[in-house]
Amino acid sequence: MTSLDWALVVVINLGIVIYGVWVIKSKDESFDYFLAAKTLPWWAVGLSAFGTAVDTGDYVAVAGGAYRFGISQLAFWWLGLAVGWFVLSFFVLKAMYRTGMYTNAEWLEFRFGPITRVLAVFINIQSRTNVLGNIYFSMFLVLNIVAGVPRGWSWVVVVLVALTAIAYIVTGGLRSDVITDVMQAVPMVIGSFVLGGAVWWSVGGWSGLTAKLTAIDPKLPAQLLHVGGYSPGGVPPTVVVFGMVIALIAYATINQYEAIRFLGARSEWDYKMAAVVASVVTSATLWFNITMGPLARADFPDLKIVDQAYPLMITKYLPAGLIGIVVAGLVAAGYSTFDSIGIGISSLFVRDLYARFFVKNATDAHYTLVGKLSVPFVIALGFVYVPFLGAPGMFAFYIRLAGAISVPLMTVMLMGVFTRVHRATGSIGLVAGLLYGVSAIVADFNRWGWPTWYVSPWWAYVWNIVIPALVMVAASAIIDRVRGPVKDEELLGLVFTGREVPPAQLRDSIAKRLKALEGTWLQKTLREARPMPKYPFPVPAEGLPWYKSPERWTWGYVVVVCFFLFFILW
Amino acid sequence: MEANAFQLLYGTVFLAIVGVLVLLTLAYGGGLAWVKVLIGVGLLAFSAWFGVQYQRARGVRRRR
Repeated sequence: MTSLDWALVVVINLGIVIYGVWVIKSKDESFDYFLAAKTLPWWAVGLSAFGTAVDTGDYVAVAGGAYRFGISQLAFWWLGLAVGWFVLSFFVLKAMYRTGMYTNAEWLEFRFGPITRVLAVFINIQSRTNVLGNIYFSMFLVLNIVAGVPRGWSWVVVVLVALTAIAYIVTGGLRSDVITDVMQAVPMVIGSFVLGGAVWWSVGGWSGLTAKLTAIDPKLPAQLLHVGGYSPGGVPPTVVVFGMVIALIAYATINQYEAIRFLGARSEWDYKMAAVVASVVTSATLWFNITMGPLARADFPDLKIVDQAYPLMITKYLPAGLIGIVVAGLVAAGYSTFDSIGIGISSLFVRDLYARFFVKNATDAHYTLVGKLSVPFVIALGFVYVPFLGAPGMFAFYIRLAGAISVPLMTVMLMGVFTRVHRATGSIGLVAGLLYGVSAIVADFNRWGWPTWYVSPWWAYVWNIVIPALVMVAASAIIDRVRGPVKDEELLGLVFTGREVPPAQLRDSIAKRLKALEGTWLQKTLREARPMPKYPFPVPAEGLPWYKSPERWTWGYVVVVCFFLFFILW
Repeated sequence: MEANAFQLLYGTVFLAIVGVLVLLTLAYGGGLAWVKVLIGVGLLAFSAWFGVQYQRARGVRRRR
């Protein structure tokens, strides 16, 4: 990298960090620090959700994964993540947003009790700090391979990036996180387009890539250039694609660090439109990131460490200057996820562990301070995973863990939103799903010879929905027989129904619902939650014009993407 | 979430610096010059737009 490339990387990222630390300040109030006082517009939440979901690993590791598995991964990013954001914004968030909750784990206790709440916190902490480890490692690879920075100094830079991210989260809270995410999204998108455009142009488009892959191995185009082309160990491609879709629906549904920015929106309309923005920007960016895998396979067919594919393509195809922009985008991608994990996990720590079980009735400023102090610990936890990420490829590891842990929690959440299952069934369903997931991983790693349909990570996505859901329905039926069916007042405001509850009645009902919260700071914040509008603008009597309808944009997006995935690219 | 005058000024200067840096990399050659020009000029155009907004925001503040 030339000195001007370095200047671009430093100026772009430091400029955003300084803006986050110096220009954006949060008040010492938990509502302002954790939820940006619910002032965020749709475009900011949408770009922030994109920046949060797409980290450095989603350039480096995703290209590495596509190098081996092909473009089937498009199902993750085009469909799974988008449907996850739509499910989150149209169904899951409604109860949390209207009742003034700060976290999804909080809702889980109201719906299913404290055990589910605590398990959700630990699942979030484990999975997100794992992702932090992935980002650190990806950033290290980029610095070491593309920039030629010695190994030790590469790690120093990674630590500096983490420290500077902590600085602006602590000073600006969610507002700072979201605004810097918006700024970081710009180099992320430009970098992805620049590299993707340059490489596609050089290889001569789709036909050029097909010809290059055929020259290496005539079977490669069928395997790498079709969404339905990946069938590991005889698992049908439909099951693989189903697993990919479920994996990212689970990601968007259960992760507090995604949910918190939607909860900070200024209206319900804003967070629904944000899901559309996030989906469109992610789809365009990830097209280039994923196709970089097969493109790299055509150029470097014998890579031992597949995660080197993306960095090698940068150095081969881009001139000085553009390398700096792409690397700046990769570093920005790391920042935009660091900060979101920092604020998201600290909100869980403060509200769902510290204030819930340890210090229940301190001042609001105290909890805000604890939130700020917990951020460095959250960011530091990611480094614990780094020694394990070198081999055999971080992508495979992440898929395995996500299926075993996240999907059961998603199933429990969706059962809680859409059904009237009994309150006691949440922890039972979650434990059943986790036990299955862990048994499948242990059997697979120890090669006990259990059938593929039980141990394969792709089948696990199916069973992690079926098993917790069936267990919850069965347990609920038994409890209903013993204690009678669930009362309406237990579910009021917590499940998705067409019935509108007046905001004052809802707040009062929620604030009194849990005896464990009597007289606590948590109860006070719920009781004092501001009612938020459905729309940030007056709605005409004849309804919203089509271009302002989140539902129409959502359906349009899903139809277009399904057409491309299942007809054009299948 | 409206930007204040200082935020607009920051945006103006920040985008101008990045735009100029991108255009300076043209000196290295190496192809794809039109991409660098597109990005650099685009950034300078946004910088100018932020500058105009900054001038307007200052004008509003003075009138108050």
